[in-house]
Amino acid sequence: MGGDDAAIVEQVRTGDTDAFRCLVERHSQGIFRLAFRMTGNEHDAEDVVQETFLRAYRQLHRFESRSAFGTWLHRIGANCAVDVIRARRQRDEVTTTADENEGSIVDTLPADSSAPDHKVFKAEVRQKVVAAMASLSTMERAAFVLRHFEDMPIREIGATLGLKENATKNTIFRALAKIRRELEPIMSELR
Amino acid sequence: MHLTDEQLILFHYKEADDADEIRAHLESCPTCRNAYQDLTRILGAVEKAPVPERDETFAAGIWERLRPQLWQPRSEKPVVVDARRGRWIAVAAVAAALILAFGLGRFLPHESPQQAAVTQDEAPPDNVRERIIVVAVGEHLEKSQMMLVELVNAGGNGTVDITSQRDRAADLIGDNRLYRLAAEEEGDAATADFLDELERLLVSVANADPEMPSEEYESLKHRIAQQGLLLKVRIFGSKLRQQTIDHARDPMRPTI
Repeated sequence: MGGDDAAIVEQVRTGDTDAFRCLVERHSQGIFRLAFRMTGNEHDAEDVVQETFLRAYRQLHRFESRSAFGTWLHRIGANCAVDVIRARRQRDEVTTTADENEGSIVDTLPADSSAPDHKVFKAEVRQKVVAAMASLSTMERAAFVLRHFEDMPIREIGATLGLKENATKNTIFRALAKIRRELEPIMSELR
Repeated sequence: MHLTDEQLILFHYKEADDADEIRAHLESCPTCRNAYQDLTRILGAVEKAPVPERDETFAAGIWERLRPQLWQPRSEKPVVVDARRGRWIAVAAVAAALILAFGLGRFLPHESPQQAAVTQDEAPPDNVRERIIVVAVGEHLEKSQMMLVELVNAGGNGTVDITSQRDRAADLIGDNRLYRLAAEEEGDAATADFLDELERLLVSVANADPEMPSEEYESLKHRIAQQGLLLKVRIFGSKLRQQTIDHARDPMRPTI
């Protein structure tokens, strides 16, 4: 199915529900990447994608065609991811210790036991990065991912997360300070 | 004087107000230049965080699970299918709530011929629909009130767990926004202001950390008390409930 996003949205609005499939096909990968970066978990990220499209469909009357559908959808995806992270944190508090939880997130890294030294180092960097991301709070992770990976302006991040501009800046500063702390041991290797 | 981490971060993301000055400083200060290079290295390392790829069947799978949830009975279809009617219902909801709560008797004061035609053709103004709407608005305010009561009584040492209130606030935002927009459209500033205050609070709660630091929690409580929000919700809600009871006793009594 062709046409730009806005045209497809209009089709859906007039009752052609099947046209929504085209939007799912176009944007599910991007939403998955955003969700995975925010949650650090494939299963949760898939849930976020599903929930994002469901919410988008139900809120389609609120979408203003003068803005980009992808941007609007990513905002919904970010909010869904924040919800999933919070729900998971609450669930994990009941069923696991903090240490066990950290371990499970780091374990999402792909195993590469037969790699040569430089690959082992890269794997170590990746592992440190994943651990650094896992050390962030819900808001820190969300704000940082939206700023760094989604290139969303701070003002817009604040609107998405319900934070004032200064609070959003401070959240991103805190996130980067934590990431820096986690990566400090391998900083000399990065130089 | 050297640049702070905060200045370097904002500069990196092209959000620094004083970007030209920072750039000039970086050119002349090796210490800050090294600090900035460290920052870019760290951010470069973050890029190495692996993101698994989904194959071409991923979107199809999402759609297969999504589709049954989109195909609903006509009465449960989302408002998008019939937005004009949905808007009328929302307008009527706020108007009904206002009339019932305060007996203002000034509903639809300046109805244009076009608006009148829309009203007659698309939205049956019968008492049954209006009573349903009144009940819906009443339930919305009742849920808001319960959430607020629990929120101001949450208490705790160090941090306050507001997970439940946060989730419910998120659920209430959509309906509240609809009623507020309808009130604005009707030119009812008082109701729109009240719903705007309520919505701002709902958004704050919905986006708050579920484990709210006690200082932040006390500030939120203070805000609720200062705005008299709980009292306003109670007044709106209780008058709506009373009106619903009156109608149950006397079904012939006009709603509007």
